[in-house]
Amino acid sequence: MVTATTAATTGSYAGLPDDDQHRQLTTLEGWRRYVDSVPVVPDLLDRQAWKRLDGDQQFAYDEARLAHHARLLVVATSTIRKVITEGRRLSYLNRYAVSGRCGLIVSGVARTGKTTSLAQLGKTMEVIHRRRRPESPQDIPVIYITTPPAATPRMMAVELARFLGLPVTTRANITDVIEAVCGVCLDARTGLICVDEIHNISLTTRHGAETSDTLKYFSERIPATFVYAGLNVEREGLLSGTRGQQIAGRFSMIRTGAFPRGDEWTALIATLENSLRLHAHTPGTLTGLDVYLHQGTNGMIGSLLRLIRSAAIQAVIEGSERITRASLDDIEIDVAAESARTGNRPG
Amino acid sequence: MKSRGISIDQPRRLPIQVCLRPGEMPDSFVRRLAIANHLRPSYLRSYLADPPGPLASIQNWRLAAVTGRPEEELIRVMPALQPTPVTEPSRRRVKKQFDLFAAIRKAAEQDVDVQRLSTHFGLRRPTIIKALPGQDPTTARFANRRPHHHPILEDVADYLDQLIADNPGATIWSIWKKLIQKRQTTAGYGTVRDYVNRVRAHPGDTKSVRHLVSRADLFTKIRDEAVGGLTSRLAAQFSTDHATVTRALTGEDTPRKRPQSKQNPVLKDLRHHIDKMIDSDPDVTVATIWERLVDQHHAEVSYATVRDYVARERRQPRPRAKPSTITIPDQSKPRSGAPSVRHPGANAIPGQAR
Repeated sequence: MVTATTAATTGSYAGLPDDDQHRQLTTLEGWRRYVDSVPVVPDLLDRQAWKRLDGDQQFAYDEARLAHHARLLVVATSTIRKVITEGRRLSYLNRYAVSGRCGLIVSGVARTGKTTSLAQLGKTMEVIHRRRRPESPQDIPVIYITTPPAATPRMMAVELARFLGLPVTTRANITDVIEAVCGVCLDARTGLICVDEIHNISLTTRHGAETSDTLKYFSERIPATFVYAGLNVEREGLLSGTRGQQIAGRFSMIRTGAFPRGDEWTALIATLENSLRLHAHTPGTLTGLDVYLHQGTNGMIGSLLRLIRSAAIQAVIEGSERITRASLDDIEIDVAAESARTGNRPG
Repeated sequence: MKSRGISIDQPRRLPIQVCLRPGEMPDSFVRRLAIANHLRPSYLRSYLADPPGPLASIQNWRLAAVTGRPEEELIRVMPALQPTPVTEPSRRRVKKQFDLFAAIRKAAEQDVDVQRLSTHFGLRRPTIIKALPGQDPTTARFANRRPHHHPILEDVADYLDQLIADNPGATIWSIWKKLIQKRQTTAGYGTVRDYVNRVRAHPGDTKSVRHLVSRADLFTKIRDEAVGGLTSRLAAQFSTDHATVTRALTGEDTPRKRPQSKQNPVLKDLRHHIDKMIDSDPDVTVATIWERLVDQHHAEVSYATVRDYVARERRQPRPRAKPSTITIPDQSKPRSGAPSVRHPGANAIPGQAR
């Protein structure tokens, strides 16, 4: 069992090499690896079998559990469900549109699950496309890019080309890059383009405005639904001015934020606790600490995940095999959450 | 992304692939691949060279990377990708250069104007100056040069020797590329070139710079040393063979360059396109002409072929719609302020501005 778990944990995904260059969403190989990945939860051995493991087996077993706790599961929160539902609805709306396609903006503060929602939407759309067109495995139904800092139109076109694997040298002009990107997207039936970190585009600058126009141009050329995600998009100026009004008229917005203390928060903690693979952990410990966890993380799912994952990894490394309030107190989370814990505001 | 002329980027698999056709030429395959991915064929063709550019040939490993297929499969389907063995390229090149220099010297007996010779032979003026007899700057440079070491090569000299011994016909460029890729050194191409030349001239002596001289300079030195000397002594002194010494001493017997056919069959259907481009824009670059031929006229022609044709066309007087006026100044009265070309071993000769 240990061997099988280890192989599933460290093995390659979809025939791709298990190296770092594919551990990113912004390349086609990395994206396909992410879509094809199926999270494998290692089985928890009973105490007798666990004690009988020799040195190598124990090491492999712990490595498998550490890898599992480093990732944990993606919990389908209400935000993720909402983004996926809205994204699917828009993609059907845009399927037969020849112009004026609608889009979606996911906006919120940091650690509220924007990128996770975006990636889950893309994964869902790609799986649906594969089921719809099993005869075209080479299609690229979803593109995921990150807006570079101080983005210019060329940089945005190059990001799309880089995702697709199109060669971009210093000799390539923006027209060539745009033509290649649009042509490949049409041939590969691209239906969803996710643009993360959209707050890096500022419409108050000339380059930012031109980049926004370039995205608009791409949306006219490519019959795809555009989904943006970024920090407080409405406050960062993406929706202001003439161009901003145009975006506001085409895009619907989903705001992400902190979880309120309530049933969903408790259910989220319970789901995470059920996925733990620790030998001495008492079920119900974390759900009993829901108020403490909410105060410590400010209701941010990013901080909660980091706290629980860190505590679980710490429990395996130290051999305590349990998460308690004391062990949670020892974990340093991010600066923002730490400030909330101590009652100080960061910076 | 480039560094020191060597591309350091790793080509990635193109999003759209095309099927292989047995026996297809690589240029034709690259064209189909480029069109499928909405790229300009000349752009992808240049990208597949290392370093990227129109001059170098398609690198099998880069083609394998963009197609996601193993090199062996590509070579099996497209035998033209098989690397051709190097057959003493340097010797042929040197001989070609020597014949060319002899022709320049002969023409210089009638007309010593460097610019006119440059136009006539389609060569740069420094090359004409190098070919002319007299104070050869290259010879002078090496005559006063002391043997020197390259400390940067101390750690990699063994590896360099191994590369040279493994493949005596390897080009210096390929040796340099292997060196900087395998040994993480920052030695410059010129440094490696000097070392390889020295080793090849004197396998046991890596300190002498005597054999850095060109073939033409070597011949001059042999002639200078020939008074009262035996052929065998000269051959030993200059680390060369008897035939070379004999050829240097009897310069007239140098075999004449075989006249090449100026009608390259590859250009058969393209010649009028090139002429049209040159007529419409006399300053159009060779790279632009080549790109237009590949992209717009579906040509499968190398950059070098186009370059040679354009150079030949440009140095020959061609009927133009609007011929340029060439004014030949009176050479006996040089115009003050006019640009002049100094010819080694001769007085300054006024040339005409372009």
